[in-house]
Amino acid sequence: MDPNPKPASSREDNNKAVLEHRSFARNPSDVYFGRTISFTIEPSDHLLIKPHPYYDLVRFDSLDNLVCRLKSEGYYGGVRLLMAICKVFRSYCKDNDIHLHDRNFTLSYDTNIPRQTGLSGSSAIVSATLSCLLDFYSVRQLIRIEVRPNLILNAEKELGIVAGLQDRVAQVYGGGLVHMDFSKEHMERVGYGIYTIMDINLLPPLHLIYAENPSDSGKVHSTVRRKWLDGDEFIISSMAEIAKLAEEGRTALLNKDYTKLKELMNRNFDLRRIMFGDECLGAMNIEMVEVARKIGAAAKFTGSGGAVVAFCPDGPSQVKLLEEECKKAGFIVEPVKLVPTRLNNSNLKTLSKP
Amino acid sequence: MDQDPKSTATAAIEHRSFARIGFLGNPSDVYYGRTISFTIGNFWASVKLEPSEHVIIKPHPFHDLVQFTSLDHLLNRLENEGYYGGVRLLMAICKVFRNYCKDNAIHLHQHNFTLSYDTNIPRQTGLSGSSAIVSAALSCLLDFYNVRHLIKLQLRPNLVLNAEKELGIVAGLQDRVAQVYGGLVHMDFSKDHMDKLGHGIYTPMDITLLPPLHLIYAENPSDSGKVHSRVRQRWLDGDELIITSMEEVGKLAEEGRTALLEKDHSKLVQLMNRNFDLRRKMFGDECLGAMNIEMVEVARRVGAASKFTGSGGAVVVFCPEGPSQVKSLEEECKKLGFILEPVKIAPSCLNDSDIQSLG
Repeated sequence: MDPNPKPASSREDNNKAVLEHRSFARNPSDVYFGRTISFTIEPSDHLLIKPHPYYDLVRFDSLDNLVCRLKSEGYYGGVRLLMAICKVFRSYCKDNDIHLHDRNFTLSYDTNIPRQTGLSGSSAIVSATLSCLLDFYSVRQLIRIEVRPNLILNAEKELGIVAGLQDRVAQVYGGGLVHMDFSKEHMERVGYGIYTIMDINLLPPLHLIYAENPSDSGKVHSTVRRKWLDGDEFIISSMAEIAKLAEEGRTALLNKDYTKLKELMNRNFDLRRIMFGDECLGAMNIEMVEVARKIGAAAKFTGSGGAVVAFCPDGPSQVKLLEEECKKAGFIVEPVKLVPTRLNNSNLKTLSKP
Repeated sequence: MDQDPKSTATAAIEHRSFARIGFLGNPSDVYYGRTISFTIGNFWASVKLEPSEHVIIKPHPFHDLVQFTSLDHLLNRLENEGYYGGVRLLMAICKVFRNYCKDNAIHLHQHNFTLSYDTNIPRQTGLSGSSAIVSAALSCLLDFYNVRHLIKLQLRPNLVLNAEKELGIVAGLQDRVAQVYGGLVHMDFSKDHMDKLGHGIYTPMDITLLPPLHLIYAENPSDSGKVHSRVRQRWLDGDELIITSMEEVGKLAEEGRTALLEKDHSKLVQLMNRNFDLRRKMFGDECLGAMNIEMVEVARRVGAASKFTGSGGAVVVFCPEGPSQVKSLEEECKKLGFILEPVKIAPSCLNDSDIQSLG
């Protein structure tokens, strides 16, 4: 059942082909003026942009199914995300004297990013939409790439989604491996961080663990931020240490020092655990990390909970063990497929502008 | 309404819930006080339930914000109306209703349905547009599942409120009681009742006791959510001014009941004006909004009584001097670009099954 009436004009069909973009899914220190490393994961289907009869929660098998889905997915699908980025984009263009033509469009989307698994499903939808808008209005070269993650984050902020820039930077840079420096000085001066593209071949083989019951990633940030703002010494120094892990991580990647990487990944999660506490993180999320640790792999959250990234330094035999343990615990484990950067010439041109 | 499951499976069910005006005593309903409210026939929300293969919540092509004339139009509507239409309200009441039935061992059949809605209640005008959609939907569910007599009438406003709370909507019971009962209702939310029964004591009153009233509203809506914020915290913190002012607001409803029964119109003028003046003192002008205050004052200027219908966005007016005063008010409103309408009172909507549930 299509709840949206089809547009009368046929112009939209031509534009649809031009406007298809993929956006892919992929550590709490970015909100705290620190540094992070992120990478993206390739989905197996196309990502189209469209208000969705399923994801926008209009159709259910039964009343109980409705109640169940509300409980696990919440009330909101993609439509509000699409609208928020339209608003933020439009306002940004107005404020920066960027002229837009007055032709209309239909936006639609699809996604296979599991909901609330800390894989940035929301921001993926938003960043893909932004990309479409940039092309539809031919303004890609007028909006600096470094600013685009902020637009995406602002769209999500409109809707009360609590997050940092890290996910959005990874998605805007379109794949590949990105190092991000969110130090206060830079953030306050220009409003965004310093983003450096790294070679994805530096990454070792990685795996993704997730479960069918999602977590509510929004709640996880709550008291830690307040404590940080109140000057809690422990939180401040722990966050600073997490940021340093990204620095040491950059070196470890460049040196292909996989023992160090394992240490850093584990330390990252351990610090998160001390700061946020088990109740906040959720028993199932912690279980996913521990199931990997049990067989000697390194493990940490991909985001704020719901999915875990694991590194098996001992290779395929260790991966097999991981698969067995996950199966026993009822978790899904998949090899991570890395996506190289999609930055096209227009993007790079903007990148090099001062 | 006793239908066997087969006939329920073919018939569509439709219910209307009217906009409401908080006449006296609001917002003391959130603070164990008392209020008198009534539903108005000027505006309503209607919900239709039709049996169907799947459970479908049909977005409204206009109210659920999917279709726009331009990018700027989209921007405009978002700014004025926010992101959310009726779909989440319908889903929320389905969830709350289902859970309530589960928790109270009320058996529901397995048939599915499609819910759709329409509304002409102006958005964010303090006329309870959201709760109207929710309470109309609840009414449909009660009939579809044949459980109207099993869910106490006095508890239904709580279900409506809980659905809205799911979505972060801040409110009290007053509006929902008015919409579930229909007509003119006196409500006593004293702590004793609330703690013991989980709901207040609701007494329907004769709508003919009300004098002719008018409604003023504007096209730019206010954000009724924000208005409750600091006052509640201060009340919880034991702020004496807030506590005593709220108590006084609650007492206005008591005096109002007497004034209505005695048709003491000059007393009513006094009480209505005092109600708003107390609100103004507690919340402050910045919170209430310049335009909202202007709507109250335009009425006062011609000697009429005026107060908010809810938390802002619309004003209820009483012109004790009659039609000539109404005419002056019309002129003043026109000058300022406000809309003025006579209030049509909607009578009680309780049927036998509802009365049966009163127990």
